[in-house]
Amino acid sequence: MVTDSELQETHGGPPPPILPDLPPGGGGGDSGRPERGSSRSASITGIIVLMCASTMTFAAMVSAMVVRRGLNNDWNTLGLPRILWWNTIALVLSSIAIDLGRRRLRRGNRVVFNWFWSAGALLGSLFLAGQVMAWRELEARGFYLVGHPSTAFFYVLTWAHAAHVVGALAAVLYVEYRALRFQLGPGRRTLVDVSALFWHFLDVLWLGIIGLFAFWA
Amino acid sequence: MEGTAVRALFSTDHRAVARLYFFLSLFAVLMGTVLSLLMRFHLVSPQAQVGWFEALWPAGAPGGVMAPELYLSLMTLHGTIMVFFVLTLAPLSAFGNLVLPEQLGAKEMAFPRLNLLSFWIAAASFAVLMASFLAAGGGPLAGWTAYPPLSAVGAIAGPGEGLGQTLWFFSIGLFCLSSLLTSMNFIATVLDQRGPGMTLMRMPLTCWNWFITAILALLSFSVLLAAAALILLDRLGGTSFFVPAGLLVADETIPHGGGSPLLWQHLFWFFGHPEVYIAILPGMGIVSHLISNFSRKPVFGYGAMVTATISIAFLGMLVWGHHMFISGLSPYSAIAFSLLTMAIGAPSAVKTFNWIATAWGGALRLTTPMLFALGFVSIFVTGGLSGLFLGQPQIDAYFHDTYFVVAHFHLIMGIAALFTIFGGTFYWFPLLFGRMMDERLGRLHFYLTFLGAHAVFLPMHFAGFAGSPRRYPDFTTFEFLGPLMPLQRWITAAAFCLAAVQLIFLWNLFHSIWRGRPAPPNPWEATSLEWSQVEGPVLRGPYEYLEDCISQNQQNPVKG
Amino acid sequence: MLLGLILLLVTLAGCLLFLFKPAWFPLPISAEAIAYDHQFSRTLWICGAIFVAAQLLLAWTILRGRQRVNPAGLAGSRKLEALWTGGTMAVFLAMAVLGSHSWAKTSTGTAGKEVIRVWAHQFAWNFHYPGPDGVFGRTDMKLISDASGNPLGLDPADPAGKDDIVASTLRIPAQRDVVLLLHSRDVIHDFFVRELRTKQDIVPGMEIPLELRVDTPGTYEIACAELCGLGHSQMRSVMIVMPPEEYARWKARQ
Ligand code: HEA
Ligand code: HEA
Ligand code: CUA
Ligand SMILES: [Cu+2]
Repeated sequence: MVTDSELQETHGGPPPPILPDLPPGGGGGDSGRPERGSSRSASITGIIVLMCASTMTFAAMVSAMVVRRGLNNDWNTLGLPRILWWNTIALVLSSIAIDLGRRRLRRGNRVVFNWFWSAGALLGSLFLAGQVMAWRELEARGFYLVGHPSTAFFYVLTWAHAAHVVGALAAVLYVEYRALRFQLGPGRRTLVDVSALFWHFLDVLWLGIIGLFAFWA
Repeated sequence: MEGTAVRALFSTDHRAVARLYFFLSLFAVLMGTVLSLLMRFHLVSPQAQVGWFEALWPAGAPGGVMAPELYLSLMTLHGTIMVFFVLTLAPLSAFGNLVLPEQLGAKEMAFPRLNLLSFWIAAASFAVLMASFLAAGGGPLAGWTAYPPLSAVGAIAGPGEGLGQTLWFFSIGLFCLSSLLTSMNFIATVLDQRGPGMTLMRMPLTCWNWFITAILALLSFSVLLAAAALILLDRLGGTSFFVPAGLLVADETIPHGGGSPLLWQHLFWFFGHPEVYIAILPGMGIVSHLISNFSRKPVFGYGAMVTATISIAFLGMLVWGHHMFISGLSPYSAIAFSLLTMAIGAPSAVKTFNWIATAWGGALRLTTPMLFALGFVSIFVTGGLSGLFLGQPQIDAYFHDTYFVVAHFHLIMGIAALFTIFGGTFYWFPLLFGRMMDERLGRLHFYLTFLGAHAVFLPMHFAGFAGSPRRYPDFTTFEFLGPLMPLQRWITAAAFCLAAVQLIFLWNLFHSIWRGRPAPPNPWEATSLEWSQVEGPVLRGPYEYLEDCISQNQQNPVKG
Repeated sequence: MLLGLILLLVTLAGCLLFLFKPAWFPLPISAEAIAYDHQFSRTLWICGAIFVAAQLLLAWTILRGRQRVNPAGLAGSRKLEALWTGGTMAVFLAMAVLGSHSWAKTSTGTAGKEVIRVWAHQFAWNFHYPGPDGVFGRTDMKLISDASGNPLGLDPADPAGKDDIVASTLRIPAQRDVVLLLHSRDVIHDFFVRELRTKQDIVPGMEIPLELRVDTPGTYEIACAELCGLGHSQMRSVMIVMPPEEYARWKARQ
C-alpha cells in the first residue's frame, strides 16, 4: 500500500483524493458522469461479446487459409523474420505488466499501478513498431502481399491483428492519461479491467497467429 | 426548430435513435420498391424507350432503352437494399432500440453513444451504396451474393465491376461494423440492464428474439466482414484468395491465381443463411407478442417458443450449404446440409402451431397490427413450405436460380417479414410519434396488400416450375421463355398494383405523424413495460391478460 | 372475420393454380428426370396438404374467436408440444431421406462412356469432342482466340488434337452414358437443361463431371443459370440428342 505521504513524494503536491466508489449496478461506469456511460457488468459483457466477434473474424480468415492450402500445391513456407519473436516477448510482457498493474489498482495502490500500466503501454507500442519492422523485412526479402499465398495470409492476419492492437492501445493510452491524473481508483476501474481483458485477448490471439505460421504454415 | 432537428440527429436517447433507423429503412424500402418496379417494367418490355431513363442513366440507358447491365445493377441494389437496409435495420435496430430497453425495465441501452455511432455507420454505409450505384462505369451487377470471379477481377469483367463493385463491398464492410456494434449493445442490454424482477423467463418474447438475433448477427456479420476484407484485397491489392489460376476474361489473362471461388460462397452463405433468420426472428417475436396481446391470452408454450427460437438460430448456423447444392460440393455434404435444412422446419412449425394455439379460442381483436400478425402466419407457412422443396438437393437442382427461389424468398422475406414491420409500425406508432395511425385505412391497406402479395408471388412459382432462370435481364433469347410472357406480364401488373396500394400506408403514416389521434397511454391494453404507467419491480410474466389490463409491474388487484 | 374468409379464398386460389397450371415442367427425357418428377409430386402432395391444413386451421381459429376468454390453463401443454415437434420432424426428415435417394450417385468413371468437354465463357458455349482417337488434344489458355476460330486454345502442335471436334452446339447419342466435363474460362456459369431436371455450376479452375443418359432424342435448350455478367440471359446453346447410329454418322462426317 502506498501511503498518501509517499504519494506526495512522487507527485509533488497534495495527494488527489481517492474518488468515492460509484453506486453498484446501472449508470456510471467510470466516465465520472453517472448519467452517461454504462454499468460495470454491461461493459464487461460488451467486451466479451466483442471478443467473440473478433474471434469469428479471425476464425473465418484462418479457415480460408486452411482451405486455400489444401487446394493447390503452391504453398510456400514463410521464413518468419526473427524480430517477430522479440515482438512476441514484448507483447507477453506487456500483458503481464498490465495485469500486475490492474491488480494493484484493485488494492488501491495507484502509484504502482501507474508504473506497471505505463510499462505495458510502452511494451505494446514496441510491439507495433516491431510489427512494422517485420513487414519491412519481409518486403525487403521479396515477400509481397501478391505472389505467395502464405505471405498474403500472413499480411492479412497480422494487419488485422495490428488494427485491433491500435484500437486497444488507444484505450490503454486513454487509461494512462486518466491514471496519471489519479482519476482512477479501486471503485473506478471498469475501463482498466475492460482494456486489460481486451489486451490479454489480443495477446492470446497473437500467440495463436504466430504459432500457426511457425508450426503449420 | 433547427436546434431540435440537429438534436434529433445526434441524440443518444434510444427512442431518438430508433426513429432515425425507422426513417432510414423507410427511405430504403421506398427506393427498393421503385427499383423493383423498374425491373418488372423492363422484364416485360425490354425494348421500351423511356426518355427519363436516359436522363437518369445516360450510360445505362442509351436512347432510353435500358441496357442489360443497368437491369442487373437495379436488381443488385434492390436485393442489397431490401436485405440489409430494410430487413436488418427495421425489425432489429429500429424496433429493438425503440422498445427493448423499456420492455426490460431498463432506462437506456447499455451503450447509448455506441448506439448512435452504429446508426451513423449504417447511414454512411447506405451513402456508399448509393455512390456505388452512381459510380462511373455503372453500378455493381453481381447480385446481392456477389460471387467471384465476376466480382473479384475488376472492371474487365464488364460494366459495373469496376469502381461500383468496390464501393459495394465497402458499403457491406461498413454495414458489418454497424451491425456488430448494434448486436453487442443488444446482448449487453439484455444480460445486464434488466430492471429488478425481470428474470430472463419473464422477458416478452420480443426481447428473447432480439437477444437471439443479436447473437446470430454477431457471429455471422463478423465472418462477412472477414470475407469482404479478403475480396477487397483481391480487387485492390492484387491478391488471389478467390481467383483461380489461368483465367481469361474478355481476352485478357488474369495475372493472379490459385484461389477458390467456392471459398467465397462458403464464407458468404455462412453469413447469408443466418442473415435471413436475422431478418425474420425479430418479426417472429413481434408476431408472438401481437397475437397474444390481441387474443387476450398468454402465449401458448412460452418455453417452447424460446426453445424453438434458440434451435432455429443454432441450426441456422449449420445449413449454409443448401445454397450451394449445385456449386460443386461433394454430394455427401449436400445430404448432410439437406437433413439439417429440413430439420429447421420443425422448430418453425412448432412456432406456427403455437401461434395458432395462442389465437385458438381467444377473444380476438382484429386490429390492424393483429391482422398483419395473422397474415404473417399464413404467408410464413406458404413461403416456408417452398423452402422444403429447395431443401432437397435433387429438387433444388432444377429450382436453383429459377423464379421458384425468387418466389420462395419474396413470400417468406419480402412479404412475411415485411408484414411484421407493418405490424410493429402500427402497434408501436404511439411510442414513436405519440399518436395513433388510422385503423380504417390500416385495415384497407392490409387486405389489399395481402391479396396483392399473393397475386404477385403465387404465380411466380409457376415461372419457376417452367424453369425460368432468375437474374435474366430479358426473356427474349430462349424459346421456352416466350410462352411464359403472359405470366410475367400478369406478375408485373400485379406488382404495380401492390406497390400502388402502399401509397395508402404512406399517406396513413405521414398523415398520422402530424394529424393522428393523440394516443392514450396504453392504447392496446398491453401488459409489457413499454406501456406501463407505474414504476416498480416486475412481478410476473408478460402475457397474463386479466379482465382489466395490468402491467407486469403492477400489483394484481384480484390476487391482492 | 373477413380475414378468415380471405384466407379461404387464397387457399382456394392456390389450389386452383395447380389445377390450371399457368406454366409447367417440360417433359422429362431421362430416367433421372422421371425420378425427379416423382419426388417432386410426392413433395408437392405432402406440402400441399400441410398448406391447406394450416390455412384452414388458421381461418377456422379466426372465424371461431370468442368474446371472452378464461386465461387459466391456456399457457401451454407439454404433450402437444412434443407431439407436433416429433410429428413435423418425422415428416420433414422422411422427405429429406426420400429426396436424397437418387441424389448421391457415386461416379462410375468415364470408361466406355462418351466423354465431352464443355467450355463456357462470357457469353457462349463450346463443346470439345476427342475425335476418333478418343484423346483430347492439349489446350492452352494462351492460344485461345475467338477471332481466329480457336475458342479452346487447341495446340496445333499436338497430334492428338488434329482429329478433335469443336462445336457450338452439343450433340449427344441417346440411350448411352455420356459424361460432360464442365470447364469455364472466366467466371462461374451454369449448365442447365430443363428436360434433364438438373443443373450444374461451372466453376473456373475446376473440372466438374456431369453424367447423363438421355432416352428421348430431340433438341433441347441449354441455358446459363448462374449470373455471369450482362450477357447472362443471352448465353444459349442447344443440346441435340440423336439416335446412336445417327450420332456415329455425324461424328464420322466431321
Ligand atoms: C426471411 C427469410 C427466409 C426464411 C425464413 C427462409 C426459410 C427457409 N428457406 Fe429460404 N431463402 C431465403 C430467405 C428465407 N428462407 C432467401 C433470401 C433465399 C435466396 C437467396 C439468394 O439466392 O438470393 C433463400 C433460398 C433458399 C434455398 C436455396 C435455394 C437455391 O438458391 O437453390 C433453400 C434451400 O434449401 C431454402 C430453404 C429454406 C427452408 C427449408 C426454410 C425454412 O426455415 C422454412 C421453415 C418453415 C416451414 C417449413 C413452414 C412451417 C409451418 C408448417 C409446416 C405448418 C404446419 C401447420 C399445420 C399443418 C397446422 N431457402
Ligand atoms: C425485403 C425484401 C424484398 C422485398 C420487400 C422485395 C419486393 C419486391 N421484389 Fe424483390 N428481391 C429481393 C428482396 C425483396 N424484394 C432480393 C433479396 C432479391 C434478389 C436480388 C438478387 O438476385 O441479387 C430480389 C429480386 C427480385 C426479382 C428477381 C430479379 C431477377 O432475378 O432478375 C424480382 C422480379 O420480379 C423482384 C421483384 C420484387 C417486387 C415486384 C417486389 C414488390 O413486392 C414490391 C412491393 C413493395 C412492398 C410490398 C413494400 C412496401 C413497403 C413499404 C411501403 C414501407 C414499409 C416499411 C417501413 C414501415 C419501414 N425482386
Ligand atoms: Cu453464363 Cu450466366
Ligand atoms: Cu438459406
